Amino acid sequence: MIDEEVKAIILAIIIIVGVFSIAQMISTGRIVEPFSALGLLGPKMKIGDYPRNVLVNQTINLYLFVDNHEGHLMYYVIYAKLGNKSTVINENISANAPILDKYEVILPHGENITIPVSLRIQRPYRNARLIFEMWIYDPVNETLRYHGRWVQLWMNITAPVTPAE
Amino acid sequence: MKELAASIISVLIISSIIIQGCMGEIEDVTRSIRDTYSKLVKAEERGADVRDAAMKLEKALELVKEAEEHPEKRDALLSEARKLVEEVESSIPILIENGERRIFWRNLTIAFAVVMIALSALLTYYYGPRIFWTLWLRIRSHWIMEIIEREKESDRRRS
Repeated sequence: MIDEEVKAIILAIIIIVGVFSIAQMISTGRIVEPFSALGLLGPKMKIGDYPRNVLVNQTINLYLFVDNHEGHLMYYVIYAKLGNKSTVINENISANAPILDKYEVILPHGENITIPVSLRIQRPYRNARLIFEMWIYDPVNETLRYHGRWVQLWMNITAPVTPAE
Repeated sequence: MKELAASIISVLIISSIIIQGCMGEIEDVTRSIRDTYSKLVKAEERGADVRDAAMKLEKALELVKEAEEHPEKRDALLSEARKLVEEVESSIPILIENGERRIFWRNLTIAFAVVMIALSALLTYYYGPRIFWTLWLRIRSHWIMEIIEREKESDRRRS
């Protein structure tokens, strides 16, 4: 009777430990919820201190944070666009606005990068929306595809005051 | 007047051809980076570790961006970018080979672990109790048995 109990206990321990370790081996590197992240950082590489009022042709220094958790290598293209209040953008529709610049990065899974951004806007603009959209290069179709991630910064661009003659 | 107009038009045509050529070069390098990226994705699907290769391609992209911003250094930057892309391209077959080898060893390890578990379960079933009791006896072989209650009783009687 005791022999049977000993057998059962040792067998149970072996099976539990074995199944757990095999499950660990198989599931290593498997991504349950893949995602990409896009963040906009201020001139000090932190969240905050964003420029709200800038002059025409003044350099706007920002940083873009891109993080890849898709489970595989990714080719991101980030478009900087200048929109306004009426610009429509959501996770399915990209902004129909003029492109100021673009940034391309290739990131392996689990890696992130912080890209310095330097932009200048050449005309006065009230309630301007500086939009950064994340696009990805699709290796199957060999085209760029909107990835549904975007960040924005509201700002006013004013003309420099010329000294009165 | 006609000569001036003709010379302006010819200058414009020549400059546009030069600009087109420059942009074409940049586009060519970008296209080759994208093609190599596509090959790297396929290699990664086959188990290749593409981390270092991806870093090289990322560097090539940075060089292309720099070439766009600094036209005076364009040729040198683009040729460096092309060199990096070629390096990555030539390393892909080796990466795939290493990846497939790694996947093979990983599968072999899993199969070995499954066999070992089954084997240890069988051994436990047949020899477990015998091993357990043998060990139990061996561990306790130096134990000295004392009957404390009787000693106390005999002490009491003596007193």
